[in-house]
This record gives sequence, structure tokens and C-alpha cells, in this order.
Amino acid sequence: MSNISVSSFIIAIPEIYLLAVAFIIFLFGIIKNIKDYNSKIVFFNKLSHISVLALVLSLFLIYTIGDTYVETMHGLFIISPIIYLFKFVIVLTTIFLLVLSRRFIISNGICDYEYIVLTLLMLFGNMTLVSSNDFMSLYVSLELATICIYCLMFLTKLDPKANEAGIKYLILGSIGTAFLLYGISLLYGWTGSTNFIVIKNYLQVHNSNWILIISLIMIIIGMGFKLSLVPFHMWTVDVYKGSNLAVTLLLSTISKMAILFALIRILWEPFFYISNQWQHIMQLLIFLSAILGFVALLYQSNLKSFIAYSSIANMSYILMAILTPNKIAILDILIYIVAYSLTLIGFVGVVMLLKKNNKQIESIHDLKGLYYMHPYLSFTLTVFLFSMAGLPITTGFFGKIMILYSAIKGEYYYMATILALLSVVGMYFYLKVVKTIYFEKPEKLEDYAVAQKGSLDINITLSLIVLFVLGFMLFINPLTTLLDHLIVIF
Amino acid sequence: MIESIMFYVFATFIIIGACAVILSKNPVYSVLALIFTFFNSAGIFVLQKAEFLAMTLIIVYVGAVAILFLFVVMFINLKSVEARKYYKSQFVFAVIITVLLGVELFVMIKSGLIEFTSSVVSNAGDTENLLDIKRLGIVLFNNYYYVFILSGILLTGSMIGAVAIIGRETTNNHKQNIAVQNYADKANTVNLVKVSNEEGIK
Amino acid sequence: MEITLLHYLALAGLLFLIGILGILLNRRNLISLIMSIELIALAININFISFSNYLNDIKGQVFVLFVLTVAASEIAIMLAALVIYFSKNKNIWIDDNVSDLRG
Repeated sequence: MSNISVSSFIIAIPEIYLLAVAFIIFLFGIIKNIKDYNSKIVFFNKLSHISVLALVLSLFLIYTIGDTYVETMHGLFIISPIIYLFKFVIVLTTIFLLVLSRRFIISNGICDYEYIVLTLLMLFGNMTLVSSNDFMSLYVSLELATICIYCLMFLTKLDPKANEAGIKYLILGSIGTAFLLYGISLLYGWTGSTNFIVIKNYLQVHNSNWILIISLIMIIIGMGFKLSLVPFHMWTVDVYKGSNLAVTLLLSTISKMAILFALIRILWEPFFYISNQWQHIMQLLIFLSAILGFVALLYQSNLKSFIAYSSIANMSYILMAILTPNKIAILDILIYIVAYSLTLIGFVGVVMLLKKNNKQIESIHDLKGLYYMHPYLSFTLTVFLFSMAGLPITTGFFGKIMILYSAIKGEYYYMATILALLSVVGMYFYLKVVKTIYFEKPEKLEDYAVAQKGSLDINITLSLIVLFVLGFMLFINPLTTLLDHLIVIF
Repeated sequence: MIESIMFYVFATFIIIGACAVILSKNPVYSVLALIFTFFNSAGIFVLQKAEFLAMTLIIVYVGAVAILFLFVVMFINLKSVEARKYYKSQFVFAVIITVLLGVELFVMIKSGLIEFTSSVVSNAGDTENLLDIKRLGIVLFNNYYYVFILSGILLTGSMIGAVAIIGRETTNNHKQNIAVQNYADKANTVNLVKVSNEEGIK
Repeated sequence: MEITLLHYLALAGLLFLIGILGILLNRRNLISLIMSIELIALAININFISFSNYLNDIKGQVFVLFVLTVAASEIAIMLAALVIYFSKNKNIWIDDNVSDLRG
């Protein structure tokens, strides 16, 4: 009488493939019991290359599965055009991240294979998170993804700051999950089901209720803890500053991206018919995040706190695009988040290559005089900084323009104006960094930042990101026709 | 009648235990109060006709998680660490925030429950099964096998992660390799040298 | 007196609030933080079970099963992290204001 068959698992082939790759790498790592440190590094390099190739193959698998609307496993797992794009974007970003941070991880002392296994498991959790259609699978996938990140943060045992940062992130994440679960329990109690589509149909028919409002607030608070929106951002800067630069990058791009997609799924699917309720709450959060993010960005000189406040500020932009659930918003969100993530990964990837006095670069002032040593690298950094600031021709500019345009069309005039002005305020920081690179020189000769010789894969990925950032105007027409073809109106 | 007495008994003990968990200075007392709270909430579960989950709570939470807590608390020898006092103003502030939140939550839930329509949209199996564990098994393995598999993967992932965090080998371990010891023979290991007087081995 | 759904929800809500109070009060003591998070998870479980009984629906109990599993594994990771933190710092206090990460 059970309906389990192979056909219900065929849709999930990219995820099953990722899981298989993760476990095969794990078994391989266990069997090969390597004691020698140098051969450990060689093994880690090999595994890293194999996993990048496996991820490229999984991109191809995602493309093959396609984008038609399918719902399997009794309504728990879903593929739709939007989810297809989400998965593609997440895997693509992870590929870039793994390639660019491989050497940095080794030079920081993490050379064991569990790093790759946990990253692949986290990616698996993120992919099942975005294709979940039910609060149960959403919760378990979310926990899988975040537990893998908790373990990743503790792999550098030697650094006491990383331990403290990991514990703070652990506590923060658990509190967020607790609030989220409380909201889900109240919602389940009121509607009688945890399936998104069933809840959506229920809310279409019944009137709003106080229990529904509390559950909405609790769910948004829970997601706000995980996305580090402003009233809930207490320990985020500490977490980002204490951990490894590669882990900080992973936290601020891929983890935020997946949780953001989950929030989009939650707000647009079950809560679709009470849009006016959550739009008010989200507006408040957007204002606070934007003000704190952009204003605090001016005073930063440390690289990791720059990443933290920059991600808070850009999250407020993306949330502004979530306010209106229509197909143009999906286009805006995807372009902006791909642009921002790839730009940040490229920027930090270049910084990971630089060393000053044989130490890693900690603050922006260490980038002084980079133009005199490495002109091409400083050109790359300038392109990325202009894209993050939103100067024209770059992809970041197009992302910001499209989000502001759809906000104005949705009649959020005040918010669009304030965010545009705040973005100008934040531009001061990015231009300050450009000035530091080009127009300042360090006093002593040995204080120049020096890059190591990049390997072929790092060079290729950096060039691809620069091409993507600069050449967006080439992609506009095919991209718009492709997205119009893919996206189904609600 | 008996149900309401049992509910009030269990509820009082839960609240007392929870307050003891957060307010006590000695961590061992906190863990024991936590175990007390778990037992009483297992009683609440039984009142709500969820016997299997009550026993699961005792087996998993008390039997595994709380014992793990006790191990860790004993391992961290806290006699050498004195308990810090929190300032009075902080205490009052936290209590005020919590009371405000509580009043708001209670008022909203109570007014929401007045218009509570119990529309059951369930795809549970047939409701003739009186046993809780049988209903649970039917729905879990027919409809939610995907989440079951996911939670298995989660447990594996957290096991890999926990061992990766802690189980780190130092590089100077001299471990025995039995195969090498078995295959050692006299020709490879022992070398007989004739040593002349006052000359030593070269 | 008749025990309605509101009594059980009030009990769960009170437990949730005691957990939040524990987090606010014991922000430095790591073990108390983990135990307060446990109390919140217990409150959520009581919530789910009460709703499952009231609606005569078994999905609440299925959710509780998964919440138990996931919360248990998360506690295992937290305790592993605590052991490592303790072996470095010899105490379990996380300082908010005096940390070297500010600035």
C-alpha cells in the first residue's frame, strides 16, 4: 500500500548524486590513513579538484532534470522554474568559492578531507532546503545545512578566536531555530497541516487570526536571526571577525543565499494571501538593516567586519525586492544576489592571494600601494569594488537599478529613496578602498602586499568573474528572454 | 477529574524544574532539574495520548542527552571556577522584557483561540487504529519517508562533524603496526658484530 | 475544572518564556545557555503534541519525532564545541564586552 517507487526519487537525482559524492569522498578519506603532513596536503588538493568536477557534473544534472513543475514524495519535494534557478545559482557559487579558497584553507592549517565532505553535505542540505514544500522537510534541511557549517567553523582548532566565534554562531543559530519552530507549531495548530500548498489554500478561505499573526512574527524573527537582520544581529560581527576568512566567505554568501531562498519560499507560498501583514514587518526590518549596515560600513577598517556589515546592508536591498511577489522580483533578486555573491567571492579570493610580511591581510590599510606591485590584480579589485558600490556598467549597478525600479513600481517611494541615498553613503567606503589601492603607499618597503603565483584554476575563475561583472550588457537580452520563458506567473 | 489533577501536578513541577534550571548556581543541580522537567513533561505527553513519544522523550532525552550533559559537566571541573553573580539591574530588565513578551503572547493566543475552527486537513491513515504508535508508523513510513531519510543523513553528518572536531590525531603518535611486527625476521632486525677490545663499533 | 487546549498552550508558552529568560540572564554561562535552548525545544514539543491531540491528527507527533532527533544531534555538536572551548580557555564564560574581537 505504500507508494514508494524509483520514479519518486528520480527528480532528486542531483541531490542523491551530491550525497553519493560526499560519502564516497568520506570513505576514501577514511581508508587512506595518511600520517605525513605533505601527502595530506596533496590528497586534499586532489580531493578538492575531484569535488569541483563533481559539482560541475551536478550542474549538468540539474540542467537535465529541468524546470517543469513536479511535486513528488507526497508533496514534500518540489521542482519549479524558480527552484531550478535557485539550485543552479547555489551550486555555481559553491564552485567558485571552492576553487578560490582551496589554497588559503591549506595555508591556514586545515588539510583534512572532512572540510570537503562537510561542504558537500552543506550543499546537499541547501539544495533540499530550496526544494522543500513542507515545513517538516524545510526544518530538517535547514538544520542539516547549519550543523555542517557549525562543524566547519570548529575545524581550525588552533585558533581560540575561531572557537569563540563558532560558539557564538552556534547559540545564535539555535535561538533562531527555536523561534522558527515555535511559529511553525502555532501555524500547524491553526491550519492542521504543514504543507505549503495546503496552508496557502486554507489562508485563502479563512480570515486572519491572532494566532496566525504570532506565528508569522515568530517565523520572521527566526529567519531574521539566521539572516542577521538588524534587531537580531547581536553577535554577527564577532562571528565573522573570529572565524577563518574562507568560512566567513561561506557564511556570508552561500548560507545567506540558501536561507534567503527559503524565506522567499515561505513568504511567497503559504503566506501569499496575507501579503499586507508581512510587508509591514519586513519594511521595518529593511529600514533598520539598511541604516545600520550602510552607516556602520563607513567606520570599518577590518576586512571581515567589512564583509559582515556589507552583507547586512545588501540583505536589506534584496529584502526590498521580496516585498512584491511577482515574476520581475525573481529576476531582480537573482541578478542582484548572483552579482553580489560572485563579486564578494572574487574580492575575497584576490585578498586571499595576498600576503604582507608573510601574514594574511587583516585590514584594508594593508592594501596600500597594491597598484605598484600588481597592476592587474588591483584592476580586478577595482572592478569588484565598483560593482559592490553600484557604479554604472557593472552588474551590481544593474541589480540595484532593477530592484529600485520594481520597488518604485510597487509604490514603496520612501523606502526606495532612502535606500538609494544610503547606498550613496556606503559608496564612500568602497571608493576609500580604491583610493587606498591606487593612491597610497606604505612607508616601509616590506609593508607592500605581495601575491603568490596563482594557479591556473584560480586565474580562470577570477577572469570569469571579472567578465561577468563587466560584461553584463552582453547578457541582458538572452537573460531576459530566458527568464521570461522559465518563470510561471503565480 | 483525575486528568485535571494530574495536569496541575505535572505543570507545577515542570515550572518549578524550569526555574531551577535557569536560576541555580551549581551546574549539576541545573542538569538534575532538567531531568526532573523532562520526566514531568513525559507525563504531560501521556495525558495527551502520545505514549510512544513520552517514552521516546525519556529514552532519548533523559537517557542520552541529559547523561551527556552530566558527563560534560563532571568533566569540566567547576569547583575551580566560581559562579559569577549577575547584576540586579540586569535581572530586573530581563524579567521585565520576558513578562511583557509573555503577557502579549498570552493575550494574543487567548483571543485567537476564541474563533478557533478545527478543520482537520489530515492525510493520516484510517483513524480506526487506536494505538498511537501504529498511527505514527503508518503516517511516518507512508508519507514522510523523505524526511526520515533526511534526518538519517543529518545524524550521519553531525557524527562526521563531531568526530572531525574532536578526534584529531597528533602527528607524533607511535602506533604499533602488527603486520610489520609479524613479518620481522632475524636477518632484517639483528646484526651480529664482533667487537674488539677498546675499539667499539664503527 | 476543565482542562482545555488553552491550558496546554499556556504551559508551553510559559516554558518558552522561562527558556528565553534563561538565555537573557545567563548570557555568559555556556552550559546554562544550552540548557535554556533545551527548555525552549521542550516547550515546542508540548505545543505540537497538544495541537496534535486537539486536531486528532498524527502529523504533530511525526514533527515531534523529527524535532527530538535534530535537537539531540545539535546538542551533541554544542557539547563538543563546549569541550573544545573549555580545553582552550579553562573556563566556560563567553564574555560579551571584554572580548578581543571588538573594534
